[in-house]
Amino acid sequence: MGASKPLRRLAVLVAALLTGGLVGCGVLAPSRRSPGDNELRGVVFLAMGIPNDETIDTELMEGLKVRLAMTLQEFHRIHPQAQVQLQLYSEDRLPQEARLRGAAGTSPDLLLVNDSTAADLHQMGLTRKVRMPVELLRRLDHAAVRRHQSPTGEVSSLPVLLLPQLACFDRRRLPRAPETLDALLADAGRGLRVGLPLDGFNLAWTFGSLGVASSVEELFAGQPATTERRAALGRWLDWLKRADQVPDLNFQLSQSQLVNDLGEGRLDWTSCRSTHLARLRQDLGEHLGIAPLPAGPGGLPTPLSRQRVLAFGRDSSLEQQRVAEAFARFVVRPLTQRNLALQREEVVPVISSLRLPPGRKGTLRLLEFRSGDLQGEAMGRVVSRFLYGDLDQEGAIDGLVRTIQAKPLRP
Amino acid sequence: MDELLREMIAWLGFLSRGPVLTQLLAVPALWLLPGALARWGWLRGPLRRRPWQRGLALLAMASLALALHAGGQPSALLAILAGLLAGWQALALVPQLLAPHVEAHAVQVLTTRLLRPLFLVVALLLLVRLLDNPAVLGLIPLGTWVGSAMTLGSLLGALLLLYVLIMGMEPPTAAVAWLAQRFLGISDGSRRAMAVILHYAVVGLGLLWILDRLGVNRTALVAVAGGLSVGVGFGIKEVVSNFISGLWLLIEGSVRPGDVLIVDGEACQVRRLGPRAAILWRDRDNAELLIPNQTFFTNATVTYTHTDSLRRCQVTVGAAFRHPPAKVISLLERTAASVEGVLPAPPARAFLLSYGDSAIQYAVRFWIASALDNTSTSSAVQQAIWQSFGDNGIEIPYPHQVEISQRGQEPPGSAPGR
Repeated sequence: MGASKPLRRLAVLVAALLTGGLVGCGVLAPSRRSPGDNELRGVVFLAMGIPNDETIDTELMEGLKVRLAMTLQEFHRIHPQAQVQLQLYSEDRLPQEARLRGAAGTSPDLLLVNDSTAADLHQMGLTRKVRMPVELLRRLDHAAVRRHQSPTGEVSSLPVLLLPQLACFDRRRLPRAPETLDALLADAGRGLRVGLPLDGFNLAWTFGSLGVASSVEELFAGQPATTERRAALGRWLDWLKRADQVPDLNFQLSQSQLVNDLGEGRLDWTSCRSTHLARLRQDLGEHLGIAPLPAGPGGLPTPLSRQRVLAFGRDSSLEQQRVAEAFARFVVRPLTQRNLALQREEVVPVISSLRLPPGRKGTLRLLEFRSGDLQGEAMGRVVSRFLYGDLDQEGAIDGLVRTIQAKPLRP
Repeated sequence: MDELLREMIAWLGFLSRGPVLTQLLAVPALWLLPGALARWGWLRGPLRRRPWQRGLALLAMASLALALHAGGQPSALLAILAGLLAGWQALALVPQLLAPHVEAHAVQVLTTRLLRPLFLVVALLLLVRLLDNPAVLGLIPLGTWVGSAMTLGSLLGALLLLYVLIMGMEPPTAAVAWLAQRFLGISDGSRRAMAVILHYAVVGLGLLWILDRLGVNRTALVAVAGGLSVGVGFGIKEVVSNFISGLWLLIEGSVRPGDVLIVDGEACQVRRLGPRAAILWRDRDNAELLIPNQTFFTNATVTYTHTDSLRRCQVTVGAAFRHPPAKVISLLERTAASVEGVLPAPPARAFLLSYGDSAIQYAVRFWIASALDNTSTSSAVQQAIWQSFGDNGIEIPYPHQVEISQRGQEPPGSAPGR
């Protein structure tokens, strides 16, 4: 009972402080913006998703601050009254935290996350559609934008950077990465320990190298499984079977496991994602080699890139929305994109026309279907059964066609 | 710390959002509203009482949160704040609920030192989670201390763990000591001593573990401890001396919680042996005495509870010369033995002490189980003696003085004019 007086006094104090503070901050006071004053003001909160296989620690925070400092400082220089406050979350926990904060009205104004997380957030109703000039969207990589576009043309999130799939190898065992699939199999035959992922998403680069990408794209587009398209899938399965028979080439279900094996010296070559590079650099140091994925008789590889995208929170005030949109425009302008790409060698700008130093973007060709459409795990299960002899080639092709044509629709 | 301050200032940015502001202002407004309504006479009956007003305020907050939620507006901040206020109020009920089962002091310690602080920590973390990622805030560096890179999280975590160890480990260690008493048959005093020693051991080991977890360089720590020992020698030697004395007394078992000691001629019970001082309770006036531990170490101490808790008490009484001493002694022994609280064994014994001026002085000595009951039991024995002497026709004589004076002569020593 004795606690009532202090609580009442505390309530009065809180109310007085809140009101005083708000008036002081200009929240309750009439807007001081004079006509024609377009200066951006306020704080926006940028929640950044950290890949699940990375631990958020002091080292990572310091690294991020250094990497982002130039971008944030430059934005602050242009808009001195606006501030972008960075907040870090583990990518897998971000939807849950965004939901909690959204329920309180304190969700971040901007979310810098992977494309799949952005799709989840949008599906959960935690982000709003992107309001950007059409000209700006046209400047961006068409396939990258299309992944986030609904049939009505609404864009759920803004691609900012592409994180391509690469080949990672140990330079102590392999001075130079194989440039073709044949060279890769030949090296594996000579004792090079090669690891390949067994899920459709991470194995999609071989569609291009083996010349079956257009058939797969057509199947995804809902076209019928003609003899020609089935033959293309057959060629892909043939090559996988051939690869499986090479003694030192192994298929693994998990891409992360492959990366672990490379870092711990159990593999010499594997495909990897640019998000894995920090960890691999830690393990292998200067011995880490990075190269484009091998081409093949069918042409260049077609890796499915992960994207880093900006999604817009739903709780922002009007002023915060203005700042958030200005920041998004700032990030996708050519100069910032160029700086970001040059700072981090493993990322690719999202502006198609941006000219980078030679050799940076030559191997990237994005497939024309959305990553969410590709039933990576289901395709992997079919391939796995085929490689273990549980399915013959015709059965595997049927399975692949069914999997592709039963693709889930994502917004 | 600057970084944390910057983060916290940035959180003010959330106040530019209308729904956040609404929820934040609603809490103090609704909390104060019932009180104001009662003052203006708009609330009648039981609603004029403070607990009802608080319930009304919480109900209003919950209703507003529900209404906001139904209208598709954010409401979790309001709901959480209302929940926290309700939780805080509910904590006030804990002492009432535990009172029949747990002693008042333990309940007070539990609520004020453990439950309320823990509640505040959880509430703070919950609120911070609505604004930022507490785990990442915990990574804010605070510099390097004793060879260890300290972060906000590691420091707060270590302090919290230490606090919980010190405040929260008392019940578990008491439970272990209780089990030891059940299985090994140790005395109550030993059980309490064991509980305190276990508590100190757990806190000590926990402290080492926390320092290790913080990555504190052990060599540097030893060097710092060496340097500090000089300062300790001059500055806080009394504190250290008392702490070591307390530990030693517990290990030796010479003074333990529950023991009865004589301090300034009064029997006092040791309530608690703290790190600096022992807390003794004096029955006569219900006073608590804080006596530095080293006092017991350097001064002679009279205790009734070192090997057993029996106390031998003595009551003296005079009987007229005409009564045979054997009869009086026998009556005294029988009378003392019949009083409640006097132990049958060892039996009560009476003695003829001396032949006084007006009576023969007798003493009856009897044993009681609890040293603190001396005064009450002695009083009961004296009352019983008065009764039994009366019943048996034994006179407790008044002092007799024979004054002889000759006519015309003043008694020796008398002053003129008296």
